[in-house]
Amino acid sequence: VELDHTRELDNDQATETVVDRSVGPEKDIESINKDFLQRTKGLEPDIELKQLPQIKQEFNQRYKDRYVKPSEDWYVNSWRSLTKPKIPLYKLINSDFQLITKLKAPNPMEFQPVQLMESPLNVGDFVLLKMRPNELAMCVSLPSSTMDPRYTFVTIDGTMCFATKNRVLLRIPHKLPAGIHSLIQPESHHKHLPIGTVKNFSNQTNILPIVARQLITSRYPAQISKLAWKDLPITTKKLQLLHRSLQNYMGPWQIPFFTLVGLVQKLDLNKALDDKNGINYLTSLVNNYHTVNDIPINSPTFVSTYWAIMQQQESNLWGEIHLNTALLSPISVTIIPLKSQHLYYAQVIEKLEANSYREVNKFVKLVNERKYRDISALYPSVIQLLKDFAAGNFHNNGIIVALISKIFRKIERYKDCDITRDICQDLINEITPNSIPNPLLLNMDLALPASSKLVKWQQKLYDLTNIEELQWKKSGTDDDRYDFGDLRVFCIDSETAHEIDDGVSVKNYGRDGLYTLYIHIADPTSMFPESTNVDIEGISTDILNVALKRSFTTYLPDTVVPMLPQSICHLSDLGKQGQRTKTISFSVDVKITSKCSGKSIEIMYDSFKIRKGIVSNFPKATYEDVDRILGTPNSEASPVKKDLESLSMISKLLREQRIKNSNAVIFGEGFNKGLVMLNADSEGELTEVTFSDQEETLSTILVSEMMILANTLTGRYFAENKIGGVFRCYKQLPLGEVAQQQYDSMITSTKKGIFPKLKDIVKLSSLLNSSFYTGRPFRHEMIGAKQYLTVTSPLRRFPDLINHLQIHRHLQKKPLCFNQTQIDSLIWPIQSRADILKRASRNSSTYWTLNYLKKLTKLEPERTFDVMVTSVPQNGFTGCVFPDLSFARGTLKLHPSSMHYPMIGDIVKNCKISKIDCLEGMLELEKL
Amino acid sequence: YYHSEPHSIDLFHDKDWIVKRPKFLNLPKNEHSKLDIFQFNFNKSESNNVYLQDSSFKDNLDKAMQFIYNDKLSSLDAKQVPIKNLAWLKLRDYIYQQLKDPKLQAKTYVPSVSEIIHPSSPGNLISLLINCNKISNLVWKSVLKYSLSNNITTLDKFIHVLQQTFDHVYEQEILPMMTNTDDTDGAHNVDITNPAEWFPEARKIRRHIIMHIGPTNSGKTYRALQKLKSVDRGYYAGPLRLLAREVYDRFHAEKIRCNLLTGEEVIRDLDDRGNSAGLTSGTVEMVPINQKFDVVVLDEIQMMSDGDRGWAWTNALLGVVSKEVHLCGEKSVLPLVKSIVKMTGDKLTINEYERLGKLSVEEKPIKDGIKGLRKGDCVVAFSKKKILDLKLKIEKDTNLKVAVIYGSLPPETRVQQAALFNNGEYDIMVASDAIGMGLNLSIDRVVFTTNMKYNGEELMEMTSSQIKQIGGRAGRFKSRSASGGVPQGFITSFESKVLKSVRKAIEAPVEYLKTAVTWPTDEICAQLMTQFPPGTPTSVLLQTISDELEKSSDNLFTLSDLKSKLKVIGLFEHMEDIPFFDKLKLSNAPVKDMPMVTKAFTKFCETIAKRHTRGLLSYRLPFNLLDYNCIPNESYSLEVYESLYNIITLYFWLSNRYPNYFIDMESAKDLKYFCEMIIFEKLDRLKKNPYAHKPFGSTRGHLSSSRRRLRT
Repeated sequence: VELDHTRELDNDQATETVVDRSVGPEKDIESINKDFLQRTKGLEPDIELKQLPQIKQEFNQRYKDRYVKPSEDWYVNSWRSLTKPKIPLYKLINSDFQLITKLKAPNPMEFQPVQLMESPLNVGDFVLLKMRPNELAMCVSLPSSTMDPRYTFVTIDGTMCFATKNRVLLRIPHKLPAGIHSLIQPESHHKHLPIGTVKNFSNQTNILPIVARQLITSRYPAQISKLAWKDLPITTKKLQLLHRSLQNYMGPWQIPFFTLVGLVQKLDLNKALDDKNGINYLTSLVNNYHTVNDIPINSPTFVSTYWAIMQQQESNLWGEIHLNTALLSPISVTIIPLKSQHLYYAQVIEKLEANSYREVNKFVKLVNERKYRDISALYPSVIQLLKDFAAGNFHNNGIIVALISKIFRKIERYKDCDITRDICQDLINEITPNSIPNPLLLNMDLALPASSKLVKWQQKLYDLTNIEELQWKKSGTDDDRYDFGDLRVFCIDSETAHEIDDGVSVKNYGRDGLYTLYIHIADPTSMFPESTNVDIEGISTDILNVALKRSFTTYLPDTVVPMLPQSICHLSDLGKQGQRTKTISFSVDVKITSKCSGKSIEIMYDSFKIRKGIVSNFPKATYEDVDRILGTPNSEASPVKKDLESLSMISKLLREQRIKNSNAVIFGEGFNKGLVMLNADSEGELTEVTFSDQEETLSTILVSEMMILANTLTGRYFAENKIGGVFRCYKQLPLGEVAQQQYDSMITSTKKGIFPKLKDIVKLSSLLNSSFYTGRPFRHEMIGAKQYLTVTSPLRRFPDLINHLQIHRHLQKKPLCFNQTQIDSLIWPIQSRADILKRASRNSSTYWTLNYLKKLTKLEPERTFDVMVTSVPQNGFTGCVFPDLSFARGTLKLHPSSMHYPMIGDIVKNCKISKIDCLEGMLELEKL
Repeated sequence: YYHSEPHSIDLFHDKDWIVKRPKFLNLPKNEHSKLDIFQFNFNKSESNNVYLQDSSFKDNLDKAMQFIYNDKLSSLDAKQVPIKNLAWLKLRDYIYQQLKDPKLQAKTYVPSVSEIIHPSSPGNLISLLINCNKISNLVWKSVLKYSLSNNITTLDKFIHVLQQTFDHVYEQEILPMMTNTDDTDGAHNVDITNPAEWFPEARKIRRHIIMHIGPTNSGKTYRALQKLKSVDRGYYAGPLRLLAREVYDRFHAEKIRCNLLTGEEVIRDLDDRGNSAGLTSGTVEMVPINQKFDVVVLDEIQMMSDGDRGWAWTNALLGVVSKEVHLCGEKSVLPLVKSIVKMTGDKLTINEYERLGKLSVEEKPIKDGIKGLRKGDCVVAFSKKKILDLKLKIEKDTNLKVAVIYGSLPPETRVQQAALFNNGEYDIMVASDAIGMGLNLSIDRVVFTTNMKYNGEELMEMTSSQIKQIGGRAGRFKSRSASGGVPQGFITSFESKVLKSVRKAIEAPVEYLKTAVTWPTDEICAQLMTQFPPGTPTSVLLQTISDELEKSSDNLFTLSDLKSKLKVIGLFEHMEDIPFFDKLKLSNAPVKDMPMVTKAFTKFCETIAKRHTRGLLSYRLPFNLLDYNCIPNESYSLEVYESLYNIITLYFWLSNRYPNYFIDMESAKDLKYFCEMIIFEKLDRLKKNPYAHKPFGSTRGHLSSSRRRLRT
């Protein structure tokens, strides 16, 4: 029988006695109390002697005020639902009520990964947080305002913590039972000391009512954690076994995280360890791994896989767990080759640690004596170790950190330095002066040919690509193309563009404000048999398989690596005057109406066409050309100028319409400042940094609006015709009331033509989500499109390639190249690659930006900077950014004594750089 | 659904569970052990294959195989030889299999360029070899990196294909299957000789370790605290919560913002925006290992060698992430600190301090025994019984009033007894070695009753360091020395035998500590836990860690004593709903081995398992004993109240860690005060030592068992 815990439990033994005033022969109660209080005087303040009945009574009162009342309030007022469990009020707390049987809420012990795409982080979701990676917490409250954009989470034991969404490592979607309005509430006034948690103001505390914790927030996380922990030893073994079947000895690669979890779920150790058929079982399981995509994910296995991988990172079996910032979930993990990394480093470590670090000591001696040639000859493994460390190829690896620290602590000129990736690079530069200027290019996830045999081999395949052979293999005819004749196609791009895959045209009918817009896109897929051969499902061509692994053209300040072989790009490129070039052309009619309030545009959806085309008239047009032509008012109205003016006018109207009717968000001034450009130094190496700001001009608006139009219309077309494709989507985050108002007012002012500036963006940035690829036609709320399907860059984006292949088959009225399941499983590697490249590009830009600052502070040690605050202070530190250098982000150390803390968006003047690690992207500043 | 069936291979005990030897189903039996065969041998019945029919194919293949053999299997790292041999056999097995396969569709096979660049399907090897000339020589030249003038022979192509296929078979198939990753997995190599590696964040910076050494009463802690006060982020790590509280109070008196962080008490000093103070005073067990500090002070660093609690000092010294770490302690710890700093690569500065006053051992023992005691004496004894006996005897035989201090007294009581003695209200202090650490006592003379001490199992002679630490308390602050000159401290005894031994100890050279006690962090324990079968009890893990690590232990580090941990763990380890990390946390709970306490602790643990919320008064505990009427009643012994006091202390300890499960500190505090009051009264009224006879009238029946623990 469960007892009401407020009841006295031991009353049968406690005899309520009328206290005898005299206690023993020589003393009464007063003198006992006096003696006691006298002695404790000055040692412990506020001591008062109370007798048991009084203590009990006061306890009951406090318990009622602090715990019972909020729980009752919550149950009665914050959970309004006819289906909520009927619990008598006196049993609300510690009732061990079985919620599952009574509620029809979805069971979060299992979920489909697509649920992560359907709903962004919301109250009810379970997460692992960076500061508490070992325990699940539940999201219980949304960001309240831009002043403090942190979510509130509670752990299983009810501890409340506050964190922005970028602290989330893993997320399990979960919806609260119907009718729950809130979990966290401000602690209401009672006459006792508050028990809640302070968030922003010390006089304002928040509580999670006990009943809400016991019924809602802790049950599933506890259950999932318990099972995950229990599974962990088996999951660890399974991953060890799977690793050897998944690893590619040629180089690291990424497996989609949910595929790996699926494999862990599916793997039957009994079968795998069977002496006779074990290897075959394992091989076929792994080779068919893409088929495990559609099984639901078991939440405990998901968590235990994550934990197990974190552990096995230290033995170099797994590399980085890549996180997607929209799904807030691991999206892939790098599988490290067994021999060239795992075994290699196991041996290196053993060798270096042997005999009390004898080899380390020898190496250090050579470094101290600056005998670099000997080092290169005798210790290539140490150089490799330093290189991998500098490149960021170790994750969560304490053993390696300790070993590297061991080395540097013995080198005279380094021993006082912090162990950073920068000093590893400094030492490498000493030993081998001609090493790579940006060691991040050796990062194994980035996978440039320099760092992986696998990529070298893929590059070789690209170099040997023989176009004729490709076209020979392709079957089917190509005579159904629409010839656009000498229609002017403007391929507006910069002078240095690598591949030109889009062009635009316009026809002005000169009446009724009617225009036809054309967006012509390069047609590389027509070269591949996949576009015509109905026997092929999915991708079969080697080149396309490599292109899928790359997924995108890699753009770094240092280098560009095209997604497709150069030969294919050259053959597909638009913009060669007079050359009949194949396209996929999108066209639509628009109608411009002039009213006194200005012009408005109507898109005639019924006129939208997708055609295979041929174009050949490419008037030369860079961004500068176009801006110059548009900006010259009195020159003769040439046909080119007329076209461009029409296009520019239409593009402005398109943008206006997106903003007004579809709530699109456009960033204004101050955004994307200080973009990194590299110039060759005297030796031809790209090491000289210059910064430029991204600027918006008529020509950039023209191009981007036309592309958005094509992608939006094609998205709609795919959705209406039920063609599976790779959509791009953006979901607005659910926000707290005030935060939502602040977001809405940003939208409102955008509609008035006032675009958010840097300060606004910094304030809002935590409230903004990221866009992501998906196989489902979800909205893209940032662009203001009901569906958005990218087709305009098939030479540099694999999703566009997939969509083009679908268009080819669709236009031929043949079975599609990819079914929905195939599309869904292709999303993961593509998204993973997108995330890796985005991060790599940011890291490189940060590296060069910080390098610039490092040199600057070396020349002028007293130099100070003004920074903008980007986060709420935590543990005495706050995030900050240099307003003119987008990639100079860091932390600002605050003095605990200072009475005034800066707010997000504030400028803090006169800060000095106290620590800088360019490779890690770490920057620390201090206010002078 | 997941792993319910038993496995044929014991994953967790069979060390080679993951190793799988390849099978050679097509290789003739006699070739399994003989390696240097390059040709392929068939029965007459198998004559129908390309190898037997096409002599140039045979010739090329044989030559290429011999080349591969020489190229890949000779002059190797000895470790790799057996595995490379297996790869060689596997390659031959593949070839046999395809040559024997009547369904092999070699003629219609069209190789792709990618397969030529990187042959990686041994199952298509023969088809690829037969058709290798279908690929243009331009491609071949590029692949083989031949210049245009070179002629490429079919043999060149065969060699390329076979080399790459061999590498594939070796690295992709055989090596992974034959490698025992358990051997090379970092998780398996937790190395007691290298606990510096457990703290990579601390290894990333070169810390400045500043050692303040000196005997008791030399002002070393003061210097360290001065430094701490001057920085933004810092931590004072004391040996007792009492001392942490003292520093906290001192800082507050000086208007320096500071948090308090001890096992039993947490006070966060928040400003009006909810930000904590940068400085914290706390116990050494509570130092946050991964938080960045400017200065950390570790007091009584010689405690590193303490069997029970030493791990906290050692791990803090190894692990705190702080640019400066100040260590305060005795000279005996110096070589140990030097060795550890050498290991971590940090920078070490040593500041030595002299004792503030003189200390001398008296020539002769006290005449007339107890009657020879005088105001300001501290009599040292090592059992609670002895201490309480002495108090009664002294108060009976002299007019002197006696304060007492011993280990199981609540810290607050200790403070009060010390205060009574220091302000002169009481004349004599009778104390255990609990006075050795921390408390400020104005003692003129330390009187040793014995030089023997019970170590839990047997009576042992005290070490000179122990005697020095206790004796050093004589002549401490505001000593009432008659001369008015340098404060002097004296040491003596009742017996000349004891005095002789004490003198020897005091005059002995410093006995340097040799080992630091350590214990793996929770994260490392968790990592090790995954090497055990699911459901392994926590105690088994800890015992195994202990055994394993003890084996590899070197001189510098030893392991924490497990006994007390295991006893505590035994109380809750069957509770499945307590998470592992919480079990590790709970294993450090200050549970005294008294039945009433362990029972209450078990109840508390059940609350954690069920995630309930309770006040201390919601437990079935004998709070009705907290009644004035019980004071004169001798059937309710001091020990009962000590148990109750320990339960209340435990409740505070748990409440700090689980503030949502264990609530209402107010009532717990009220109960604590009342309990303390009764203990004080009972002490004052001590007519006879309750430990002298077998207790009578005990309703709880736990006193007999506690007789075994008569040490203080």
